[in-house]
Amino acid sequence: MKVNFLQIQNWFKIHFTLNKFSMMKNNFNVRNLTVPVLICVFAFMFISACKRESYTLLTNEDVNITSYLDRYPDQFSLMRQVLERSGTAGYLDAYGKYTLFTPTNAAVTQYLKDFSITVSRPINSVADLTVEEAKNVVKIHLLPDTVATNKFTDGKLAQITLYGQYLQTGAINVGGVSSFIVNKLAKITKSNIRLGNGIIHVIDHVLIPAKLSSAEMIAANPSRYSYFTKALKETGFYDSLNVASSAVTDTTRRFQTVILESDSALQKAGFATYNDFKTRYSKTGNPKSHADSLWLYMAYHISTGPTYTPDIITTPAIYTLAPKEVITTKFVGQKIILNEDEYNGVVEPGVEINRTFSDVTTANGVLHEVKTPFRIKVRLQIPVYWDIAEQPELRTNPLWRGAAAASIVLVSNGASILSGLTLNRIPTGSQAPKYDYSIVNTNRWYNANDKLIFSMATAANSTARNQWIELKTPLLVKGKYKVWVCYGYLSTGPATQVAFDVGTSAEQTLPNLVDFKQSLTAGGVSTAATSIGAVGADDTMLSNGFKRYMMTTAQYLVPPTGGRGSVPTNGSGSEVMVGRLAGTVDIQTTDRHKIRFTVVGPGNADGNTVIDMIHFIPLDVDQLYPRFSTTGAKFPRP
Amino acid sequence: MKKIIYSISMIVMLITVSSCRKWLDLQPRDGITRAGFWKTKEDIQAAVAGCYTSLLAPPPGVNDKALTEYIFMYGEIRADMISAGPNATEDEKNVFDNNIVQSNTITPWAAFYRTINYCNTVLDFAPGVKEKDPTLTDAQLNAYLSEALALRSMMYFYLVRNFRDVPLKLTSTSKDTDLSELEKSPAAKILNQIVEDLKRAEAGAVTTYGSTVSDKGRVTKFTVNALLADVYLWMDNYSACITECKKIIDSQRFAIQNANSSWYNNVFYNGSSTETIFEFNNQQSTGATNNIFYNLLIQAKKRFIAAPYVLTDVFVPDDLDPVRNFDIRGNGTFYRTSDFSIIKYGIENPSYVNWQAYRITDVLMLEAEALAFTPGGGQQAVDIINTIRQKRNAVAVTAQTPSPEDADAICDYILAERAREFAFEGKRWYDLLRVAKRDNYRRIGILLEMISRTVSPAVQQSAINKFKDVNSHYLPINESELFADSKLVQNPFYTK
Repeated sequence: MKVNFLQIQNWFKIHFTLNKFSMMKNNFNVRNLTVPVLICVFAFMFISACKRESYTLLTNEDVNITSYLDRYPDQFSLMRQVLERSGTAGYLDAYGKYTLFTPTNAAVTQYLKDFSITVSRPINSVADLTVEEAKNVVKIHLLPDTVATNKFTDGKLAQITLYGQYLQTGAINVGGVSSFIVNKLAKITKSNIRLGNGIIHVIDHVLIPAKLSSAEMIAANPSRYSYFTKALKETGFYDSLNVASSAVTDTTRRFQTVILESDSALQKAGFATYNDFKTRYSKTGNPKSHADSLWLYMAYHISTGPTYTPDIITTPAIYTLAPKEVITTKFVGQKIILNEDEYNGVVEPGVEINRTFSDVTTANGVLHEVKTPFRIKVRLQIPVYWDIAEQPELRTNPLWRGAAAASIVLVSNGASILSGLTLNRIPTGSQAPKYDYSIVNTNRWYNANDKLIFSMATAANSTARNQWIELKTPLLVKGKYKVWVCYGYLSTGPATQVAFDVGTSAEQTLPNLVDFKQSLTAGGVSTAATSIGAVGADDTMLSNGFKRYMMTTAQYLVPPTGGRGSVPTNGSGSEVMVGRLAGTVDIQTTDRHKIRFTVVGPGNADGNTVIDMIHFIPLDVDQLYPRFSTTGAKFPRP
Repeated sequence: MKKIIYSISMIVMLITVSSCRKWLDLQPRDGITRAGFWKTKEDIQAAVAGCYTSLLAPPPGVNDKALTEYIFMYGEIRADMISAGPNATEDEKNVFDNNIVQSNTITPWAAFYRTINYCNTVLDFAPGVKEKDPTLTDAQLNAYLSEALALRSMMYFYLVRNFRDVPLKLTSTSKDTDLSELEKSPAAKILNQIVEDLKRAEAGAVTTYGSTVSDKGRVTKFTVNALLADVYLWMDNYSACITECKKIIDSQRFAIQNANSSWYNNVFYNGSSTETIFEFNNQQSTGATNNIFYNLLIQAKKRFIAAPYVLTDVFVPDDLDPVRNFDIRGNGTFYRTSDFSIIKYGIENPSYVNWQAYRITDVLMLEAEALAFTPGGGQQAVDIINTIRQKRNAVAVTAQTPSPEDADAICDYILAERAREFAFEGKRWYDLLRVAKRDNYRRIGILLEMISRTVSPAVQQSAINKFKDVNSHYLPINESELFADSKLVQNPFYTK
């Protein structure tokens, strides 16, 4: 370097001198220039003789899916041939976002052997597959999105394959080694290989699309489902479950979910033969009639959409093909339980899903099995006296109706902690809704000493408070009910409108406003002993849509419960516990519904809406009694 | 003549100007190089202090989470006492759902190895100071080395419990040629190295530094004993565990404080109490490092909240008089039931509440667990738990009455009591795993039951099946580490 530098310096000097001369004399001496130029050339050659550096010329060295398969022919040469045969090799080497479940060579070899038997023609190599067959193989393995294993659940993947069937994922443990498994068949041996245009998961079996429809799949297992096969055929559901999903015109029925009952379960339930089963239900003689109970029985086991077990867990009710009949769902520990409902104060045991025989994918849906049979329950309308503080999340809280007065805020970290409570916004601090439980009461007396407290206001008054709240009711049998909102009167309370199932096709708005600043005096009585305390006061109030719902001090529970009511019969305090008739609701489906309170009138204070109970009382049932007490006991009509 | 004078002066000037040699000097001006360091005992002290500082926050210019944050997350997310808050990241939620892949951002172990390297640097260079600084005594040098050894062992113990087999690096990486690709060492080898190092550390460590804050915030002989007891119990070496616990208990330097209104403030908020054996000191008196917990646990959009399980099963209110009769570790001190915030680490921003690494109750319960598996030790174990419960004013609902012969039942009781005593202290997952893996995973059911409660229902069955594979109990090596070190082999569970 040093030498070179001096050389250049020398050359520069000469050159400069020359220039000077040439400028003066206007004479360019070429011969003098030759030597320095030659030196320069050598010098540069010398410099550039340094070791060549290799630069990265690409911004990304990731290969695409097809190129990746090319790189490992010992593992994927056969799948690579399938891509070639199907004409998708180029497409999977282009830009995009895919997930390819890639079977190994061993898996493809096995598949070809099996497929040869299925189609009964010799298939010795990939070349023996038709283009269409090869295409189908690729399609069932390909998702049009990148799905890593952390998106896997116990059920179907969110994305559908290009074949048009969902893939079902899970994990299994064999001999202490756990792996992901796809379609209950193919174990993932290498996961989450990130490539330029997607993700590859290596699997040890070729995925086989379900060829049989739900109906065929059930019929293909006559030792297990002979009752159901016959019943489906006789009721006509066999045909509707036997239509390829591409041929279905009603898009909601492209996939259907069937909950099966095995022969042994039905036999255990007392149906020794299919005929016993049929005669038990089919009363009209025509099982295809929608009025026939056998038709309804089967319809009650079928629902629309591909509902895998995680979907069952996350949805509170399955809407079946039986009109207005739902299956309620529950998840307890590891069990999925259907139709475990509290009805008339009694918890009816539900039926458990048999996970081993569930999540069976068919060409047009999914099949599950329950351990014991279930049917539509013929339920009579009963009054539901709902203490709205009886929320499942609160019941598990030891502070709920505990040994000491307690308050539980119902929102936490920007969300409601109750699954049965929806709010138009999540208020904070003193405006947050809360559960309140007291032991000593002096001027308000609530059923079981607890209530839910909300802070409500119109949007014009306060956007920080709630404009509406929505509660999920207990199970209501279909029919008409009078809806009584039972609350503690507060002078700051808002006027609210009560509506059912807002935003659904079954939306109903009730006629009477529930105004939380109305005491019983709005029902046409005064607190005088001669008015509210007099005989006939209840009727006066009832005619105005009001009632007392708490026991008075004049009312005593019979032993062994025992105890006396708390609300004064007259005078101050006698008017504050209000039952207000919101109107009559026509419940169309036996299910849990949503009741919404929307503020329409003034009222703007913290904790101004104190709701204790909501009564749903059928029209032909006593509307005034039973009354309730601070111990939670019911007081029947004396 | 003029020209000559001019030329000479030019030449003189050029010579004088260029006689400055500094422009060739490559020493940094804003720091100290190794050649300039490691000269006096104060240098060693400064370097050891650096090891401690690395526990609290990443060094300047390094974009990483604080080591304490990793320790908290590793110890809690996979267990059952915290849930995802509104601001939990997708990766954190995936860990809650037992859906971990190697690209998950909570898995990098760099923070642990960074501290290990600081300790290794002290261990490599501190002995050389002996020749340069005649005032450095052997005892002093050994004390410093013990601190570094203990901290390094602690880091490796975290790594072994979280990743099982990890690279074992016992020399410093202080120049480019020190960089080398390391293979994983089996967990057993690392545990043996930890025991060996800790025994060396025990010999050199001091019993006191002469000030309470230093005694709690720096490694003492008792810190080494506590760590060793924990390691021995992890290795199921019960008699050695009991021996180590006894050394601490018999020293009479530590005591459980009474259950009164100032208990939380003494032990946690102010820290350095008689209960503490070793803590990561964030307090103002030692330089005030903001602990990371405001963002994690307190702010409106927090990442973690207490799990509902804490209320329903861990801190159950008394069924007779919950107002007057309550566990001092529950609502109001460790967490609050109103919004399930974890308030153990203070609710202020910034917060300087220390991280409690070992407290006397930890040692007592380690001893109890070892005693439970020692013939004839069952009753003693139960007595220890009952003593702690009495001191904490534990309520009757949470009491259990295991038979002194039934080691498993005592162990369950210890697990339940440890959940209360060390709630949100980053210990729960290791407690569960330690009990579950004992005797060749005889009690794996503990983990399966736990995971069935904690994950989302939609992935529950998968999560249970994954947990049946014991490899899944350890975290994957992060993909960036695999990329950097081609000799690393991924935990087989995560390649599938």
